[in-house]
This record gives sequence, C-alpha cells and structure tokens, in this order.
Amino acid sequence: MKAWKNKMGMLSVVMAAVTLAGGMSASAEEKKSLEVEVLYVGDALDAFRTIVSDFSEKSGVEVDLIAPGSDYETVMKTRMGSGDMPDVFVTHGWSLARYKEYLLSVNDEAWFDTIGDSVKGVVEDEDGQVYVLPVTQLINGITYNKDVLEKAGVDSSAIRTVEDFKAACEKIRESGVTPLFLGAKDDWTSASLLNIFCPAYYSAEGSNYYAAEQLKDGSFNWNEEGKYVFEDLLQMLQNGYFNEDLITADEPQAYEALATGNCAFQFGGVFVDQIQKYNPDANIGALPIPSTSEEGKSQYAIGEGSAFGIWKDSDALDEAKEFLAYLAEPEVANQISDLDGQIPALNTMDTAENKTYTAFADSEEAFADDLDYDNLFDREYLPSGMWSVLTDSVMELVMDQTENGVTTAADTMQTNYVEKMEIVQ
Amino acid sequence: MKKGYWKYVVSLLILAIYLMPIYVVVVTSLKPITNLEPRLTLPKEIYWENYVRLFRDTGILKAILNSMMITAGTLILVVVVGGMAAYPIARMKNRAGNIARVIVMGVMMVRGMAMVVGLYSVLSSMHALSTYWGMILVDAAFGLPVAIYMYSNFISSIPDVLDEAAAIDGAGVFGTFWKIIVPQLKPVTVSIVVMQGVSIWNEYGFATYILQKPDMYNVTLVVKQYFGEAVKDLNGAAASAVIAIIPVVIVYLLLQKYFVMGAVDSAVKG
Amino acid sequence: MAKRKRIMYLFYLPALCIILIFIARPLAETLYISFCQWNGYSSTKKFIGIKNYLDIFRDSHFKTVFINTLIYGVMSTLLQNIIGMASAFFVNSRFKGNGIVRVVIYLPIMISGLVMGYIMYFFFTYDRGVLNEILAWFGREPVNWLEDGTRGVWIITLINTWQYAGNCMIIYLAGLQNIPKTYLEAAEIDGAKRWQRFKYISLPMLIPAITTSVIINLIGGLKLFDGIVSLTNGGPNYQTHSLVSYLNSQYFLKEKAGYASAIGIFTFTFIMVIVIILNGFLQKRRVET
Repeated sequence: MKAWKNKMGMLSVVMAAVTLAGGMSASAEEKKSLEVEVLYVGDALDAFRTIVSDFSEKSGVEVDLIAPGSDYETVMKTRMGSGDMPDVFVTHGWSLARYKEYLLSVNDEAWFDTIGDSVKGVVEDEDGQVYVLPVTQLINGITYNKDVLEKAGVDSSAIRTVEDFKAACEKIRESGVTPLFLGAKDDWTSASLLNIFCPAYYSAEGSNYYAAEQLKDGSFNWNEEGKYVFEDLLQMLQNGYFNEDLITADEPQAYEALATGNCAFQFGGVFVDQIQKYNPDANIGALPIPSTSEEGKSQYAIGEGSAFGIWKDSDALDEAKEFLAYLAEPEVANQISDLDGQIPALNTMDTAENKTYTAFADSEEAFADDLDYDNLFDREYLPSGMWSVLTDSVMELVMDQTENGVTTAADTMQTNYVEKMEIVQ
Repeated sequence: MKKGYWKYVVSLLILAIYLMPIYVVVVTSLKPITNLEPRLTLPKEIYWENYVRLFRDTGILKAILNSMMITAGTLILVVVVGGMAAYPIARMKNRAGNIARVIVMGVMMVRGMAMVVGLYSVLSSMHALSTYWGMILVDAAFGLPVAIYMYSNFISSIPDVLDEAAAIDGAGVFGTFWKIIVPQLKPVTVSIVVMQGVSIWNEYGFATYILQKPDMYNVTLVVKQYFGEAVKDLNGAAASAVIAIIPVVIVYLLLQKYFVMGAVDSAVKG
Repeated sequence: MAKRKRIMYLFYLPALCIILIFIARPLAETLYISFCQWNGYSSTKKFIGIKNYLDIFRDSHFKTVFINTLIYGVMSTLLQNIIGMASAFFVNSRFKGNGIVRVVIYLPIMISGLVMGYIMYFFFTYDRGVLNEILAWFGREPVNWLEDGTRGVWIITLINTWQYAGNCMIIYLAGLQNIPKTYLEAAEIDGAKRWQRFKYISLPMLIPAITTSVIINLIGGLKLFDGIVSLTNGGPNYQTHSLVSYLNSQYFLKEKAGYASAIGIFTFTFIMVIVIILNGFLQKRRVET
C-alpha cells in the first residue's frame, strides 16, 4: 500500500508540473491578440517586426509574429491539415489555388479599391472575390548582369525572341562567362525555369504554339506540342549554356554568381536588392521572357508578393481587419516593399526608391509595345499540384540530356497533368 | 619510444579529419558575406560582426535558455518515467515483458515526420503549441523507448536475488525499486543524459511545428533560420552554428569522464 | 507474488500514457490517412482503400529510395562498428594524448545532423568547395561531387559514419575496459599472438557491446533524415532520398499525404519485422550465455 502511495505522489508531482506550465502560457486580455505568420527571414523579418510593434502600440492589439522561414510551406500545410490556422498569414502566390477555402473575402474593406490592376487580375477569382491584401507583387522573368552583357557585346533590349536569347547566350559563352545559372539543389528553381519558359510557347500573345484554351480544358498534349519547350531547353543544355554544377548548386550560389559577374542570366523572381547583397556594385537589370515568334509579345509573369489574408474562422476577425488596414496605409505599405524588395501592388504606394521597380520600369520602357503581363503559368494554366511535377520533369531532362530525356520529361508532365485534371473535373 | 611513433602520426591524422569541419566553420564565421577567399584560408582580419549581429538581432540567448529548459525537463521525465517502465520489462521474464520489449524497440524505430499532422492535432487540441511542456512531452515520447531499452538492459544485469531478499524483508514493489534498483542506476543514467541530451538539444524536426513563436525557439531553429534564408548568409550561419555547439561541448567535456564509465555498465552488461 | 506482478504493471503506466498520446494516436491517424486520397491540407479526404499501398510498387523512385535506406542503415552500421572498434582499440592503448583523440572523435556527435549537412555542403560544393580547393593545390580539375546520385549516397553514408563513429567507440571502449586484464595477460604468457588474443578473448567479450552498438546505429542509419535534407535535399532527381526524407517530400511537396502515409506505415512494419527477428535472436543469445 505504501508503494502505491509513493507512486501516486510521484504522478501527481508530474501532473502538477504539467498543469502549472500550461497555466503560465495562457493569458487573458481585453483586446484579442493576433497570430500573424509570415515568410520573411533575416533583415526583412526584423523590419517587419518593427512595423508590427508600431501597430501594437497604436491599436493596443498584441501580435505574435511567427516566421518559420524555409519551413513556411510545410508548417502552413500542417496547420491547414489540423484545422488550426494563424489569424493573418502570407499567401505566397497561393491565395486562390490553395488557401481560398480558409480565407475571408476582403472585397468590403476600405482599401480594396487601391489594389493595382495588374495584381488584381492575379488575386481575383471567377466571382470577382479577392481574399488577400496584396502589398507587393512579384515580377517573374529574367534577371541579368548588365556588365557581363556589355562585355560580350549583347544588347539586352534586342532580345525579343527565344532565338535572340540563344544567340545572346552563345556570345556570352564565347566571352568566357557562363550564360545561365541554375541552382537546382533548391528544387523550386528548376520548376521556376520551366514555369518562366512555358508562356513563350503556349500562352503569351502571339506565341508559336499558343494553346491557352487547350491547357485549361485538359485537351493539351504534353507528349506532342508540349515537347517544344523541352526541345529548346535540351538545346541550351547541350550547348553548355548552363553552369557546370547546375544539379548541385543552390539558389544563393546563383545570386552570388550573378552579383559577381560569373553568370549572365537567371530565371524566376526578380530581386535586385538580394543579389546586390553579394556585391553592392553589381549592375543588375530585368528582362521579360522573349517570345517564340517575331510578332509574339515578350512577357512578365506577375505573382503575389507580400500578400496578407485573414483566416475566416479566426476568433479575432476585427483585430485582423484592423491589422490589414494598417498594412495598407501608404507609409506602411512602402516600408513593406522596402523590406521584401518587390514592387508595389497598391496604387497609393511610392516607387521612386525601389531598385527592383527601377529595373522593371526600365525594361517596360525598352519593350513598351512588345510587352504582355499574365499570372504565373502554373497558377493560370495548370491544375493544382503541378509545381513539383515541373521540378521532376526538368530534372529528368537534366539527368538525361538527349531526345530520350525530352520524351521522359514530357511524359511525366502528361501523366500528372491528366491525373490532376481528372481530380479537378 | 620509436615503437609508438606511428600512434602519434595516426592521432594527428584523426585530429585533422575530425577538426577540419569545425575549423572551416569557425573561420567562415569570422569572414564577411562579401569575402570570396578560399574557405580554408584564415581571414586577413577578423570580422566579429557576424557574432555581434547574432547576439543583437536573433535572440539566440533566449534560444539557448529555451533549449536548456526543454532539455532539462525532457531528461527528468525520460529518466524517471523510463526507469520505472524498464523495471517490469527487465524483471518479468514472461510474455508480457517480451511483448513490451518488442513494442519498445518498435517505437524506437518510428520516425515521426509522417505523423506530424496527427501530432499537431493532438498538441493543438491540448493547447500545447509553443509551450515548454508540449515540446518536453513530445521529446520525451520519442526519447523514452531508447531510455527504456538501455535501462532494462542494465536492470537485467542486477541479480534478481537482491529484489527477492528485499521482498522477503517486507519491502513493496516500489520500495524494492527505490532502495535496490535506483541507487545502482547512476552510471547508465549519465549515459542516457549525455546521449539523449545531445539529441534533444539538436532536435529540429518537431520543434519547427511545436515551437512556433520566435521567443520559444530553440537553438537549432535559430541556426536553421540562417541557413533557410533565400540569400544565405553562410558566414552569419556559421557563427550561429558555433554558438549553438558551444554549450553542448562544454557540458560534454565536463561529463565525459563519467560518460565512459556509464557506458561501461549500460551498454556492456546487457 | 501475483499481486506484486499487478503492481509491476503500474510501472508501465506513465510511459504508456505518454507513448499512447504522442506516438500511438498520431500513428493511428497516419494509418487512416494511408487509406485516403488527400493532399495534406484540404478539409476533404477521400477513402480509396489500399490503392496507396499498391502505388508503392508502381513508383519508379521507390526502389532506389528503399535501397538507399538499406545502405544508409546497414553500411553505416557496419562501417561505424569497424571504425568505432578500431579507434576504441587505438584509444585504449597507452600513449600520451589518447584522451584528446577520444574526446575529438566523439565531438561531431554534439553537432546536429542538420547543421552538419550544411557544414558538409561547404566541403562538397563544386564552386569554392573545400575538397575542390584541396584538389586545386595538386593541380587537379574540380569534381562535382554530388552530381551523381550513387556517389551522393556513399558520401552521405560516409559523413554519417564519420559523425557517429564516436558512439561505437565509446561503447567498445567501455567493453574493452570491462575485460579483466588478467585474461589478456594470461593469454600473452601462453604465447598467444595479438590477433589470437583479439579473436579468442576480446571479441567474444565484446559481443554484448556489439549488440548494443549495432542496434543503436541501425536505428540511426535507417531513420537518417536531417543530414540528407541539408546536404542534397534528396537530389539529384530523388537519387539520394531515404525512406523518411522521401515520404516527407511526397507529403509536403507532392501533396500526396495518403501515399506518404502508406510509405510511413510500410516502413514502420518493415522495421518492426526486422526488430522481431533481431529480438528473437537476442533472446536466444541471452539463454546461451
């Protein structure tokens, strides 16, 4: 009996410790506190923290800022999977395709009308509902080092077609610099490469194999017309335009190479500030994706940058709305575009100081009548869940740089495209 | 003297192979991000800014404190609960004990990443997210099996006769455990503390999901933050890695004598 | 005595509670998900029976991943034990500074697998990697070490071996120090050679240490995850994934939560079978000694 007592004593100590610790973590307030989850890291996160604490001071709303960095996506998926979302979170390009069922429509908010047109096309669903406050937008295209192009005697504004682009690569390679840099260890980079190139073939105005409708209704065939984009990639790979270590390099190495003039072009989101971290004097410009045909238009793909959504089942909806309204204030919104290095998405914002915007605006001027804007290719023309398939197919081509590789890569696209299309319909 | 000469050559070789990575990390941490010199060269001038930034901006001191709390809490739980559960496994030489042993070893093999959604739901419903106790209980759950395995091996090596004698003297089960078994568990406990302590200190898989609030981060999460940046500040990251290992290394150096002795009894007498 | 036994069962209770809540319950949920088609976050799960399990055998990457896992588990265990035993003998021999060697060999264990992967990335990168810098000293061309998946698997195995060989060393060291000196001295007097002393005295006395060491390292190797994520991220083209890192990528990147769960359950069952066999073997050995 004595033993039994002892044991109970021990158990109750453990229990008490557990309850005590639990009690400490819960606290009550008049105004509900907000849980805000963002994708920022490093300096950007520090800057955003300042914005948040300014907000807390003004409004009296406590904010818990959560920033899982590169684990953001898996953490958010886990939280969705178990039905426990943060009150406000960044949707990183997925406000419609992935997060819509968890988000509150923001069409009635005061700042709604300040959303710029180009980004509105990206965040609006078929019923005209918008679910996020897009403070900045992400420009996707080609980032290049101006000095490298100049040295090789390439005029960037003359790159209007994919053939022009290949010719430019050839010249650069002859000048002794690696034309294209891919950091495929970070698997999104190879997906991004394909995602950036596809519009030139299938969806940009006037492109050679234009098939926007077929892509959307599921009748597109990757094993046939879908091969063309892979054929050109294969040619670029075989010509040695890519960095030697494209399979094992990572994204930061791509930035570093671009900043230090060790490569000429890089594909994906345009981030001038981040590249200049490796070399503040780097001369960086932006280019739209060239078309496959002479008459076709070059294209920038526009995506969500820092876009904030509210969880529709949040128990602090009023506070969350107050927070978004604060972020939409022009001075605050400008601070956000400073910290994420992307270009403004609200009409009320200031663009003068923004380096990425300057690079973007310069190319807009150079390509004035030859420029088209669209949503990111996969968000617009592919069924949900294809992003990692883009990675797989590019890697299959990279691992087997022959016609056979093209067939395998295209077939991977086709199989998954058909499978995911079926789930959608 | 000449005869033992080769031992020193081999020793130097081992030291070189084992210390080189640490050397590279330390050297990298003392260079700025814009430095493009070979990684093996010593910096021309020492650049402390990575460390300054680390202590000023990342809350690494709080993270070290968090890691200490979590590690200590988990170890206490693992040692107490694990020691208790090991006792019947070691003593009951029947089907039940055998089944328990197989279950324990099976659970040792479970790696939780596929279970993370289920685990998250459990914790979320208990309001255990971003709390010390939530993290402690999870770490303990995954640390217990190994502890139970080691304790039960060890207890098996303590003769049954002692238990029986105590029982005849009228001691209850708990009394026997407390008076006969517990005093002998010191060496194996040191082993468990060092081995598990290291893995709890370095845990990151679950911490990512459980310790969401930045002021609850453990050390590994702070290091991960650096490496996870799109623009990787590898030099800053190296500095954070250096700071992250210093506390464990100190504890290890203090405990290492006992540790070998502990291993003698726990691992070998099984 | 029966009453004592009943009380003994109570000793399981706290451990059982913790394991039930934090391991068994999530595991049961994983089992359920493995019979569903689910993307991992949507509110609807579709029950599809055993299709996910059948898919395992149709998955062209799975075979590679499965073999990799065996290499990570079995080969690192083997190498760690050989290196661990050799260094235990080495450190156990009397010479000045053997303590330092022992401490240093155990040192890498203090560093988390994740961070170690990042550190090793400094060594194996093509551009400015430490190994290529060393090759350059000798005027050799740089090698893209991680380009080839098979080589990647061996590099990861070697890193894992190198990092955790200290565990084996400590266990064997403990075992060696447990062998009564008189045995060895007696054998030496009888004229036994060094190798014979090892084979007939040291090795048999080390068998319990070997068992512990094999089990602990096998688990570590089969569950390898962090180091792969930070060094190769499973690439190129899935060639260096282990089962755990592969299912993680299927769950979160491919959004195939059901399929990933099926892999998880498969892995668990597979390892359980090994454990039961191993356990039977151990019990037998226990009886014999």
